[in-house]
Amino acid sequence: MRISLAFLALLLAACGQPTQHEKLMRVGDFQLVDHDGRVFHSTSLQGRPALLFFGYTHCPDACPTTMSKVARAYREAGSAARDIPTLFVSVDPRDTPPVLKQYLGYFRAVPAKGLTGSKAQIDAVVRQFGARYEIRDSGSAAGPVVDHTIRLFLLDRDGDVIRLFEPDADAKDIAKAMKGA
Amino acid sequence: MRALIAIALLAAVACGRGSEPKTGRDLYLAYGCAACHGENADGLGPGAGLSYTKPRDLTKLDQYRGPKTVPGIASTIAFGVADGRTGMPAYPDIPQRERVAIAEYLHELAARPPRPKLAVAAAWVRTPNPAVDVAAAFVTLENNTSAPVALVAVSSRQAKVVEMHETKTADGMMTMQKVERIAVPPHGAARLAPGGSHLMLIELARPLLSPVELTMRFDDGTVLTAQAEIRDAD
Repeated sequence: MRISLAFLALLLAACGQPTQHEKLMRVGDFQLVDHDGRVFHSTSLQGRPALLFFGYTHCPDACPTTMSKVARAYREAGSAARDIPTLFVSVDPRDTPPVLKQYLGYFRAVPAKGLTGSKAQIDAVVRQFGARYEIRDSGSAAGPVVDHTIRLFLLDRDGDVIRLFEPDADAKDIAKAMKGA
Repeated sequence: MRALIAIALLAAVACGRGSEPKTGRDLYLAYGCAACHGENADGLGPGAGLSYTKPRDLTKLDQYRGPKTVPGIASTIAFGVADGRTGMPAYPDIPQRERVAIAEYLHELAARPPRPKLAVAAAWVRTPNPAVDVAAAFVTLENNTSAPVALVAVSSRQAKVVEMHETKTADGMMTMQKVERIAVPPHGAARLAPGGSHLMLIELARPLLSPVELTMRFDDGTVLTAQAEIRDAD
């Protein structure tokens, strides 16, 4: 029953998709600081879709896992995704622009932009995406632990969320959605 | 118990027609011995808990109460253990030739070196990002004993500190916790993998050289080392 419902939903989704994307979440403009230390305004994306997720560079598992998956999605999507940037919004004050730049430079397959900002700016963006984070002292020698939303957001040309990818999402699905965005 | 064996036997007989199992192990499985004695003949079959007598660990010949020779074991299979002293029923319908093959298989098992009580497999370290001084390591911990054990400490010459971390994801939110132990269930394994638990290597040696040796201490006093290859996730 569930399977057939899911199948039906898939069929319906397949029929309806190519023309108009349903917006899952209207986000609105936001302002942060990019990995070169310059002010970043979301309007600068100017009609380009984008991927966005929250994280921090000391994140040992979830963030590199998401990053490798996104890298696979870019390889899969090929030239169609060339103009889609990935915005990595750090919620950790330790991540200064130079740290972010070095961190993201390592993931060569991803056209990534690291974003940070004041706590107020970061909190505002987190809220706009319906995300959460919490910086805790867990007694780790690596410093505070940062719990955070690890969903991957696909934004359309208006900067609104049209797809949400959970951590178990498949790189191929992400690639497909990027091509259709 | 008997019903279970009978069902297993029936199934085995029904399936076995025409395919003619050959080896002692094939016969051991085909006649349903594993129902009580376990797939590895260690006495831990799915039906073991239903028997009032604990099924024999057949890999330990010195613990047999009956005969230990091949003809002796073949005879035990045919006649069972008399007077219900144990739960071992008689299987007079198994041809002598096949009973001998099963007995020879059990002798072969007994001659094998025992499996290590604890083992570490599939160890790897995710290539560290040059911007940060941490890296996650993943291993599979195997417990071949019937008692629970736990990993309680990890160290490496290539990291100042190694911690055990558990990550959980609920409602799209990832939470991570430093833990003091990672339990490995009896006759089971704990798989540390992306998205679950990991070992966090902190303050890495630079350059970090592959393989990274990890020394793991368990709460039963066992110390194991693993050579973890450095690689990317995919």
